Amino acid sequence: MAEGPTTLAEFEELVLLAVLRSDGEAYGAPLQRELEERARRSVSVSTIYVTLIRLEEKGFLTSRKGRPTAERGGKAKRLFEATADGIEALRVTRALRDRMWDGVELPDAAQER
Amino acid sequence: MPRGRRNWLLRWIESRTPVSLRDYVVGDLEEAFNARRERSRLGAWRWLVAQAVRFEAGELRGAAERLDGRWGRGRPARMRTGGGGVEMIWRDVKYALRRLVRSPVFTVVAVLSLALGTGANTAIFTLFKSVFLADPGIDRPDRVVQIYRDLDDPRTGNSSRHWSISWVDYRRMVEETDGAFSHATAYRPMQGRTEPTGDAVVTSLWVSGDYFGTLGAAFLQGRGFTPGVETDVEDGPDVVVLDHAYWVDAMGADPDALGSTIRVNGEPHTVVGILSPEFRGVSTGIHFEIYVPDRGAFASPGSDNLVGAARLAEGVSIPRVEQTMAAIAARVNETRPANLSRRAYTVVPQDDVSIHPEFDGFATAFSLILFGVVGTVLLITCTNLASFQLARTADRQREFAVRRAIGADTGQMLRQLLIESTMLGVAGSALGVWLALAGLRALLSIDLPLDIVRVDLTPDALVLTFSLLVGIAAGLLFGLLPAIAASRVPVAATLRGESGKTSGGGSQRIRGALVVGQVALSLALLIAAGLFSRSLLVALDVDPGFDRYGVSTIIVDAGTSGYEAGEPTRRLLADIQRQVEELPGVQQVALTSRVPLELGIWRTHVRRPDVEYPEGVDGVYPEYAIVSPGYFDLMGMRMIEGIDFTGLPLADSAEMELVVDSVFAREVWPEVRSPLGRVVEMDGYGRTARVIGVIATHKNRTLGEEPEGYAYVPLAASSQQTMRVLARGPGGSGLATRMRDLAKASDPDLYVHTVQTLEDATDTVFFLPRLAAVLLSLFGVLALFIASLGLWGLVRYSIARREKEIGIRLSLGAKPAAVVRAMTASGTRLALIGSGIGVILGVAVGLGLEPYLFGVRAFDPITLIVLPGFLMGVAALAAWLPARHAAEVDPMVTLRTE
Repeated sequence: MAEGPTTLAEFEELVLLAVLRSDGEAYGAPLQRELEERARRSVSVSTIYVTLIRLEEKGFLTSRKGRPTAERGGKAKRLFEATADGIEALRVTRALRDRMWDGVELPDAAQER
Repeated sequence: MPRGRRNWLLRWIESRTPVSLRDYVVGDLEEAFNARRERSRLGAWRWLVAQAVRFEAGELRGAAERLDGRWGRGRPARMRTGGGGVEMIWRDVKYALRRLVRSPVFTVVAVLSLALGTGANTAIFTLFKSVFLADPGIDRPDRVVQIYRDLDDPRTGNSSRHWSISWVDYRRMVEETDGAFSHATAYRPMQGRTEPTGDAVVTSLWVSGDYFGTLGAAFLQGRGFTPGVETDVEDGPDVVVLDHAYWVDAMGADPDALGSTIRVNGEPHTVVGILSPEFRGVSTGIHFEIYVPDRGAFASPGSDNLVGAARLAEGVSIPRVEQTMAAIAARVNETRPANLSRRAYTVVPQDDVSIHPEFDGFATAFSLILFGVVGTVLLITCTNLASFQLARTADRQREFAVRRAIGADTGQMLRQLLIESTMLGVAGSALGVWLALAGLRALLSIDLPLDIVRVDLTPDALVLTFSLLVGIAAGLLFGLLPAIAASRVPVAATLRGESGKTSGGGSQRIRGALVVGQVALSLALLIAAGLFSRSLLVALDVDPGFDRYGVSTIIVDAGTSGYEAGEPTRRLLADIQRQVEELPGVQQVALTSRVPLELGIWRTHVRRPDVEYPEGVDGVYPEYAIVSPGYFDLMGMRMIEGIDFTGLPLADSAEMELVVDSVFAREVWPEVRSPLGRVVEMDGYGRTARVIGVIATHKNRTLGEEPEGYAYVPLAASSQQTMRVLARGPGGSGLATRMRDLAKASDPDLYVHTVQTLEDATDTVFFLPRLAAVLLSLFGVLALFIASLGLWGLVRYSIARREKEIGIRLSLGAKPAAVVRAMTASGTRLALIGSGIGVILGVAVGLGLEPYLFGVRAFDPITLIVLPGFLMGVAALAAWLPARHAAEVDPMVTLRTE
């Protein structure tokens, strides 16, 4: 594939988007809620972290340790931020998708779900 | 978390999360869970369970490893188990107690069967301890030796390294050992009568030299005997030393006992010492009640009926004593005719002797056999409980999974389960101690032929420690395998509700193997029991050459009752005989000094005047008995030729009558067909004797012996004062009691004892085979029962697990009978494999036991066919009983639950 390393797998794309939507407070719990409420994806927390770690390894995310809070039993958060590379990768992925969608007409039945 | 208590499912997930990610991952879950709980408790839990189920610990671990610490080391899990080791174990104990109380049936069954298994071990250990491990109460026993002489008797073929020594030997020990010994003594056990104990038979020790000094005995009151004043003199003061137990039991611990007078064999003796309660003396296993100076040794200085003992002088070693004794033997042998056996002594450290060196080896071997048996019973008990535990493990999988989930690691799981089983083991052993002592008390209340053996039934620290250790070992033994199985319970699968399919197969296989082991062990035990039982039957079937049954006996001791030897004693005995003859039902009455198969050896000296003996040989020394006319007839002994004793009074120095057995006749007169009318000289009687009758040979000491010559001397020629009165007639021991009452009626002071039947009097030879047969059969049947229970449980359980399969088979048209057959077959197949192994084991055990068997080989076809057959029958029953229920499975019900 032409764009090679910069393309994102579907779930990576969703997680990266969730990080961007979370607006500076991007850690596991809101990410999971975003995915569930908006993407209708019920995923296990382990899957989310495995993906977050992979995205960080690819350089699309950075992370830092956050403050612990009472509602999470006094445990620290891991806060994530998209890197420039990550945003570029999203852009590339979206462009790829748009090019593919261009001129595609779907039959009615398939549109519902 | 609002409640402050931690959510177990979260803790479980935490335990599966790599440490470096724990805060982030679990924190997120906890935050989300709490947020959801605000809306719906149930929803929050459902969500969390879904998270737990779908939690991919492996992938997360892989990811964490790739991070390689970049997210920080994180904090280690907080839960685990806080507190120190003791607190931890205490928590486990409390938890185990709760578990055990919650399944009372299992707990009771486990404790009871462990009580049987450990109790059997404790009982045998208690016996073993009181004979072999008891503290002899001797000062520095390592400085004390016992002296025996070697016997190599060509006349009898007897050979022993531990034969008794004579008075002459003892004097050599005192006079010719050059100060090797600081104290020396010689002693022989005797039975007799004392005044405070009436007609009870008192076991006494007749001692020469300084018995108490040699052993360093401690006295509660008084002192021991003074050599040269009280002992080792032909005519000293009549003194007695009392054992502590005798002083307590016979004299009520009389504070004035010291210095008082008691009668010993009719003669007044002054009490000069009362021993301390710890003192047991030379034989820890035998209880001597009183000690008196030996006055008889002077009369027969050459008789080998003493055991020597000595305390080594300071700086003298045992090898040095052996050299000294060897030097004495060499001097003796110089003056001894060359054709007589060489004199040689054996020095045995006191620490190595419990009863007698020759007997100890046998008793040790017998103890080891018994330990093997009870150990096997315990092993079977343990395998059985292990099998039940495995079944429970399957039932408790959810509990184990949750415990694992909340962070218990494998070590903690093992510890928890082992504590549970160890607690059962300890509870079982506590009950077992009680069972063992109650059982032993019951056993010892039966009249044993070995009643002089001292058995201490107080549960001392040694017994309790042994029992506790056995209990703990049993707990670990039966708990380990199930614990390992339990610690391997797959947590996620179990929590998803997939239990049963996941681990059942493996534990079922282990249980099958355990059943095979149980069947094999119990069959081996049964075979051993069978061999001993067959051995006993063969022994009982041996014709001893006389009729043991239908005869009652008492022993009359005229000598200790003030009667003169000779005519007065004979008159008394004749009176008693006449009175007993008049008792209703009595057919025959006769007297004898000894009945065959009774303990004790009596020999006399017989010489043919008409042959030249080789130099140094002066005749033969046959065993003999002194009997009245009618004895042979009463005993059912066959007279081959000649006549019975006439019973006529004998003038001084007149020729006496003699009856010999066929073996004696052949040995002494090999050249003639009949010895009738032949004459021999008998020094012990100062007369010549003429053979008037020959009887068929009979068993004399053991059933397996080669016949040896035996002679009978008429009571009319003897000064014997202790005689056994025999009466043939119905009534058994009741008749014996009437005989005793009759004898006591004519003289209340007459010493009459050993009131019993001839069957009991001659039962000693059957004692060990019978004890072995009874004990082994008892334990063998117990083992078979336990093994059958295990098989029953296994089949029952596997049917419960396979209900669906059975239901499907039945609904597909399988005949119920065929299903039952199939289920039974699966159980009997295990029993068959076990039996195969058991037969091999049994033969191996039998080969080891062969020296203790009589007339039976290890490859005894009857035992090896009958017992496996019997066991298979029981096993098939144990498998069939639960298998029957398989046919009652309702296919509709079981399939609907799918």
